[in-house]
Amino acid sequence: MLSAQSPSSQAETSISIPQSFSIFFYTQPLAEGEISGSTWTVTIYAQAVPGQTDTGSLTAELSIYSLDGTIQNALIGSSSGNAVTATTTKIDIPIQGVTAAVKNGDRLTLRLYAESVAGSTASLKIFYDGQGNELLGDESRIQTTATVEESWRQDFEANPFSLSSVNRYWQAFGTGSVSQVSIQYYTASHSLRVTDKSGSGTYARYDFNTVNNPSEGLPSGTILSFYWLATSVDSMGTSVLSLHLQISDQGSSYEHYWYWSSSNTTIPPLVYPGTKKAAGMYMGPISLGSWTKHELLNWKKQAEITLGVSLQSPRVVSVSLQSTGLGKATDVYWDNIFVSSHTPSAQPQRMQEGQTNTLSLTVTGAIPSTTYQFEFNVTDPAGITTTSMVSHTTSSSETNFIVSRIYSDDFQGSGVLVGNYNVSIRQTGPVYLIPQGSGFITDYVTTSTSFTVHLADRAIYQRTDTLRFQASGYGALERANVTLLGPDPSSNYLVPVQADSTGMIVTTWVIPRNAALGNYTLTVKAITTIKIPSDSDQFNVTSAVLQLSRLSTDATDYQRTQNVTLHATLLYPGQSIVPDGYLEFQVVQPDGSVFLTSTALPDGSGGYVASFKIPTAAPIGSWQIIVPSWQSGDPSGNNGPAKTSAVRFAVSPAVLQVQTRVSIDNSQNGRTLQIQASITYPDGSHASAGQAMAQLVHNGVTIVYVPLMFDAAKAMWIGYYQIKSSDPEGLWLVVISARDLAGPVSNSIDNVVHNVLVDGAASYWNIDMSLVMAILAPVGALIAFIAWRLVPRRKRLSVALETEKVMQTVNKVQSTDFFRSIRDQLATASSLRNEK
Amino acid sequence: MGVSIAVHSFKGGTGKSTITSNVAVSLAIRGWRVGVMDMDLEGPGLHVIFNIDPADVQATLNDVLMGSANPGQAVIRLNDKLGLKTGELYFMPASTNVTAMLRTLRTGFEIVSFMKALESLQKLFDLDYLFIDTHPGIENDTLLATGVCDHLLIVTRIDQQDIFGTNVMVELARSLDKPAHLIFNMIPRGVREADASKFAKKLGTRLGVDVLGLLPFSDDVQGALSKSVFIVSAPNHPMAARYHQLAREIEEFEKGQPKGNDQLMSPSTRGVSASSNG
Repeated sequence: MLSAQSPSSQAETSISIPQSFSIFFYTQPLAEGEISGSTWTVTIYAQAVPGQTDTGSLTAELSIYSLDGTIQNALIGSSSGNAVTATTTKIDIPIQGVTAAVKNGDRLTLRLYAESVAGSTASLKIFYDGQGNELLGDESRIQTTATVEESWRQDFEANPFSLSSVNRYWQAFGTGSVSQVSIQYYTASHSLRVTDKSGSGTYARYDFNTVNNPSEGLPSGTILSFYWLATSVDSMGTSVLSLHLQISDQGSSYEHYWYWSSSNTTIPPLVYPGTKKAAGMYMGPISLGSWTKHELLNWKKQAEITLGVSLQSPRVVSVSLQSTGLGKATDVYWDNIFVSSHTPSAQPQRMQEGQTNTLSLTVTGAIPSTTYQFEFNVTDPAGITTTSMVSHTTSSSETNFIVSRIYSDDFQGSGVLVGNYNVSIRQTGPVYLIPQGSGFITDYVTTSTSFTVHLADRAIYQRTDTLRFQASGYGALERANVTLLGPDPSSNYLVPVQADSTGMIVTTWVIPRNAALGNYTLTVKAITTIKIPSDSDQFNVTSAVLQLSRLSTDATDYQRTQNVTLHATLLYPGQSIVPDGYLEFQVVQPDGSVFLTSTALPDGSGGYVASFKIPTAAPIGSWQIIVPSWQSGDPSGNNGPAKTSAVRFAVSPAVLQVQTRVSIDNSQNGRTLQIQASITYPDGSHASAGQAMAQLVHNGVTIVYVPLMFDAAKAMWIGYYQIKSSDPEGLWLVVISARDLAGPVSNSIDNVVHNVLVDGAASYWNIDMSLVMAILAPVGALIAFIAWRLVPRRKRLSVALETEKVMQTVNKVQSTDFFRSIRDQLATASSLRNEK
Repeated sequence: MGVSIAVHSFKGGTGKSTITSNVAVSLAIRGWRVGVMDMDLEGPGLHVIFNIDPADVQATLNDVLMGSANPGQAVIRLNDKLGLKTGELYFMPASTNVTAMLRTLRTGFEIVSFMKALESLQKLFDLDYLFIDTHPGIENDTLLATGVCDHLLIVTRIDQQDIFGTNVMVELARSLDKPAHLIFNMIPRGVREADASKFAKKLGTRLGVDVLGLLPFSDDVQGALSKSVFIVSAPNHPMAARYHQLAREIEEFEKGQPKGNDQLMSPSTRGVSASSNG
């Protein structure tokens, strides 16, 4: 719902419309688009002027007003015959609107027309803003359900129909040949563009009608610059007859009339009561510019009036224009005014003797086409002020600029001293006029800043920093003494120095890591050059903040029982290493609990090192080594680092190492497969608790699972299997798996394979001997005995092929330099032979 | 040029030197020109078997490599000492100090230098076979011998540790692209020949290497206490036949091997009649 209503905070305003007269209200220029057909409701407070006949009739009409004249007053809708009585009444006027097309720049227009009523001379009084007869929250408004372009909606709501509001003007037009009145009310600040009396072309700004600037006045001779707009059947707007200006100042009212028609000596009726002054007494002649085209209406006329009296605290009450003929009166618009602000700067804020400083002034909101002048004044520590001038002329579109001067290059006679330098920058043109007594004085816009000059390059140093000393203004090759006095008298020293050919003394001092903390004083005393004040500077030494330049572990992933080695580097601010300090650190487990708090110590190579072992049952996951801030230091009391640092590493379950030995023992009871496994952690310690199993496999078929038990005496896991005669012969796989009791994830190993060659020859003599004994009874026993003695028992052969162990040994040999050398040389010799 | 054969065992006491000396003599009897280099001087070795008096040693291969002796000075002809009527048998002590020899050949060991030295000896004496009796175990000199030889014989017993070391040497020889054979020695009493053969073949298959021969344990050989060459002192003993058979196996194998431009000629082609005392 679009709605435009008058601001309730404003004083009530009304206008009377004589019969057959209209008043118009305009929106801001609209963008191209379409207004949909819909209902419009115009709500207005109206009254038939008392004392006349007490009835009237009001027409409300909505239309599109186009500047280019192609479509003028295209009617959206109108409503006539709306009765108005002698009692102020809110009237809702519904208007059924049709669809209307809008071109760029067109304005939506509301026309209120006092209809001619037979037998009545009543005029209609329309209250169009503020409170009073309007109820708060129910002020005059226009509402519609029509669809419009979004930009209109925003404009419409932001800049509603100018029923009246701050800075917006309503137009009143007459359609007949009677006087029209246009009234402008000032309720907020407006600015005037003024010149001073001399007319020298300098301008300043004055805030008119601003309650916050009561002290700003207008001296006699001030030129008020304004313009108004007009539309006329002829192109020259000559229908404007007179202009009435009313200004109040400290309770007095000043009015002035201007007449354009020298033949018309009729003074228009007074619009406002108050002291009248004769023309020319308080205002000078009005000078009119020529008519120029204007976008709002057709023509614009620029005017300037010179004040004939000085005003201390002027308030423009009203300006009205009257006209006859077919012309239309317009409002008065004050020219835009220019406001400038100044921001000074000195760069750098702190410098050393012999350096230069850039003094700048940034001016924003400057007046275009205007020459500005500035005076830069610098007062040195000796109290001597030197000056440098600069000017800048703004272009026709320039409102921001920067002016600069270089100290001391642009300031003749400037000295080179240690201390504070005050900078004052004064705008000497254009100038302001401020009232003082009965007159005005010139006011210079002045801003200030400052900078300091030193011998040392910084005010504060940490131990191990390098102080760069610079002093200038001495004689070429002049000799001098630099004295350093500190908190510890034993470290005070005096150094003879010599200036260079330009009179500059430069030297450096690396502040020791154990330098006394506190304030130091540097002074320079030369043999010939005497400075007042003398070159003396102070600086402060604080303890060095140690820096952690490296923090790392020797690996990123560890198994339980492995050692983690931490490496770190501590540096002084001067970037030298801390050779003999200490580095506190914490080892934090994945759950955030601290596993270890310890200290890394110098490793002899400029770094810091510490090691710790990860426990057998350590939590799995991401661990951290944290170096907390300010916990580390050196023997001189320097501490750091300034912020906490951390490095992460991962802990995973240990992969157990298995060394297996499998043997087959032959005995009277048969063959026994003995499995011995040494199961160790990565650190070499034995796993003595948990579970270990050997799976015996032949041709992919599991023969048996043999549990292994830990023998503490041998530090081995041992298991036995009695080989049956029914067991297959050939290559058996002994597959070892083991895991310890660490939780929740154990350390383990699976599928360590060893090969065993099992000769499965049967016991021949048993079969044979049993046969012999069955056949030959007692004699057979003797024969069997003899046979047993004579027939050699078949020895069974079996060895275990410890493939993994073999390959470990092979790999070890192959990794030696000697073996590699042999291999490489053989390859070379072979290739040479092949070439031949 | 002849072939160099390194004879190796993982453990001492496997009969390596005994086999080397007997096989070398057997080949000499068969008419071949054979050299034997002893690189194992730390324990009882070839110089004992061949009854070499250390005073007879004028120079060693080390001296030749250092340039302080010529090759002829480093060789001792054994024909007369052993009563050999055919072939030639030369004994070459490598060094009185193997470590010194290795140092002589500079850090990183120039195997080519050593090979050239051996080649020069082979050429000088026109050797058909050069046996290098190595130090037991896997040491630098073992690797040296493995590197320079054309063929590696590994002597092993049927013993867990021996088999382990044999397995390692086979793998190392394979990585150096050296052909290798197994010789099972001191096969325990009570083990049938067939069983031993079957076992050896299985093991050989498992290790990826052929078995050149099986020699049973012999009290008589043991009793000889390595004081002589058994096939010379007991030419009719069954073990002598075994050694001769082994020599023949070696001969057959080497005949089938490429030797560069020179093929190993049979002694008959050399105009030397071959005869066997075995």
